[in-house]
Amino acid sequence: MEIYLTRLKCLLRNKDNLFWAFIFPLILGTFFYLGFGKLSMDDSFNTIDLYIASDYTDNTLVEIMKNAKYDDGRNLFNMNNSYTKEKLDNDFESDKISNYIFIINDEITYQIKQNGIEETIIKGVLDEYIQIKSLYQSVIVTQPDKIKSIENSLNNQVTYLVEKTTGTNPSANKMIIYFYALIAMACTFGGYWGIALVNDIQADQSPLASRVNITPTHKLKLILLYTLAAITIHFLGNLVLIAYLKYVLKIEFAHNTILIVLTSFIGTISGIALGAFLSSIIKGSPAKKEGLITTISLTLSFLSGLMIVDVKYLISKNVPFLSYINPTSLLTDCFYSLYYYDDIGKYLVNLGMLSIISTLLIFMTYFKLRGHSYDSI
Amino acid sequence: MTVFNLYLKILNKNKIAIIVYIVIFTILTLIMVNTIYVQDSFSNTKVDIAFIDDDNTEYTNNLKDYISDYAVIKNIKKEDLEDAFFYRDIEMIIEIPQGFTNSLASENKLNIETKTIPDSAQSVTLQRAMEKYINLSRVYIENDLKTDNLHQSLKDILDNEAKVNINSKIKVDYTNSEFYFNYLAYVLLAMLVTVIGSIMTSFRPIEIKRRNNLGSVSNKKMNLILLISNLLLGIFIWLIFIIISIILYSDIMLKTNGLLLMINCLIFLFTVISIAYLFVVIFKSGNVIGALATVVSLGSSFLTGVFIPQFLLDDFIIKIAKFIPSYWYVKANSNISTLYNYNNTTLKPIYSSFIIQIIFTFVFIILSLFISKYKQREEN
Repeated sequence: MEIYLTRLKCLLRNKDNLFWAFIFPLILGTFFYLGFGKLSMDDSFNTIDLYIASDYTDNTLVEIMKNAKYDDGRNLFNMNNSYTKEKLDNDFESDKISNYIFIINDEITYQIKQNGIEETIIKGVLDEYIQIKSLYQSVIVTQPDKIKSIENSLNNQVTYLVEKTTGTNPSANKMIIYFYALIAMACTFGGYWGIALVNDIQADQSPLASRVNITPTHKLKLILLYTLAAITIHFLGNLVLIAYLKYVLKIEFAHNTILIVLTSFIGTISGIALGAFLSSIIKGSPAKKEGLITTISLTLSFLSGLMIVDVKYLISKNVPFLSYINPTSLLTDCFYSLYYYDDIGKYLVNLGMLSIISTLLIFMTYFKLRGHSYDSI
Repeated sequence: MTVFNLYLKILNKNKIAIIVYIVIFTILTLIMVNTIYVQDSFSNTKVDIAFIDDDNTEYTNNLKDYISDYAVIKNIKKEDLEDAFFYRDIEMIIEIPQGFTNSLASENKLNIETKTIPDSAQSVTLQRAMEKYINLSRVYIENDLKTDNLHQSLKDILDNEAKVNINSKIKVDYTNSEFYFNYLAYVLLAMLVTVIGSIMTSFRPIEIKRRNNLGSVSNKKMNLILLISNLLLGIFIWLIFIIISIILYSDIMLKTNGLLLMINCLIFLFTVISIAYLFVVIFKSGNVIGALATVVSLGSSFLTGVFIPQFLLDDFIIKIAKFIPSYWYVKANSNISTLYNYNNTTLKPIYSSFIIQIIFTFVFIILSLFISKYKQREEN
């Protein structure tokens, strides 16, 4: 117990590690939130401003455009047909309006500056008007007796498309991955503690470790206690991060808090294990190892979408193997599948893979560390 | 020369950081490079969708053919649909049930199931187009209208479209070069503050200062040479990025707008160096400055619109951002990128952004001088 407490104290004095493991993810999370926490990236529709020339117009069309509505009952267009074509021409030239409609000899002309979603919607409605008109015209010629019943059919519009309710929330989108990848990065930063762990235990790594090695305490006991101390600190830091994201920044998480905490716990272990493993196989100064861990964890995070979300999707689509061996990506996916899917099958697969990788790393580190004895260093 | 050689020696130790920044940055921008295009004819804004056809009849295939004017139909495995939707690889999932075609003529209507992003403008157009096609078919079937080929008759009607005149004055697209230069704000800050910080802090320990005081080079002269070396380093890195930008965007960079982008970047470079100096006089350890450089560069980039366009930022954040130099740098870039007429009114906002950045630079320099004087007195 005393060894454990002393070790905790030791770790808490390592200011650099504390900054990168605790403070930095919090700061980065705040930046993410300020930058795009409120963005959803989805375009949402609004009522569109629309101008029809007052002198070159078509009353039926004006009526139709005025009455066009979205599914939820909002007007599609905010119609203005009080200006003459000449005025609209001028306004268009001087960039006051971006599009307008005029009709000459039954031909509808839609004047625009560039292609876009609004332009596509307006043109869609104009097309519909022209097409129905042409339907009447062709029927009048071929089967004039059916005009009345066609009118009935047309007025009696049927809706064929129905929004499906699946288990997943259609508004949920990829922006949230930034925050999940951030937690995963913070877990991987546990690697710094892993380095310190090996560095202070393996006799050939530091004078302190040599001293520790000649104590009568069993090495396995030391390793276990040191690891436990590292896990305690890092796991706490991680919980603070998740609590901060969830309660202060109001980032959406799955409702199952226990599973979230479990994920973060296993994530912490995997991070520390990764650091310890790398540290045990690489010789060099702690600074060099820390540089390496930074590079590796940032690369893993990059592949999990921390910098550009689409990277993660592209990888899981094209090289799925990579996302199954990358602990950071597995962690991100754990949070994602918990949040997005109702069924926890996907979550369990990811968490299982992560546990297997962590166990492997721990065993490899242990075999590397155990059984060394030195006559002299 | 002795001082300059020493500077180069210390710089040499930092070369990996510099090279990594330059390489990663260049790769990132290369990924983001899109082709520059000019719009001169109308085209629908297409939405990416998945089209699952369990009916698979001639009719549904014709429907699929028709909506390809409005949508890009992607081939995605059924089990990957949800992921694809979440990452917005597709924005709509359309599932046609078995027996749909037959149901059109019968009383029992079958529905097409869709999954769309709520309030999405893009899918509205596609939904309307599909409803239109199916409803027209229904009109044909219900009224038993004569037709040899339903799809052909529908197409004849649907080919009647409104005439669209497109009149676009904007001929050159600066989006990519603007993105490149905006992103530079982050890279310059992160890289130069770290590197200059780590070089200058090597001179900080009191023992080294005492040793240097004994040397024949006066303190003033040494500081001057160091300052010039830092400026040279900055300009050298600036040149590298300018050369890359000329290679990437040769058609833009050699015009007036490109030149303005370069000047803006050069002005910002001096601001960055002055920030680095300010950190150097305040903090003793290179590690602390490195950590700060990461936090400050990321923070200011998120707040001032380097990573996301300024118009998307919250009003409150914009208010804060005005106190950060990179806000004015990004603003100038965006003004330059939409500059087509060169006159006083259009150039004025650009010049004022320049001037504000220069003022920031002076403020940082004065602050550093003040603090370093104070600290020196303390040391003596």
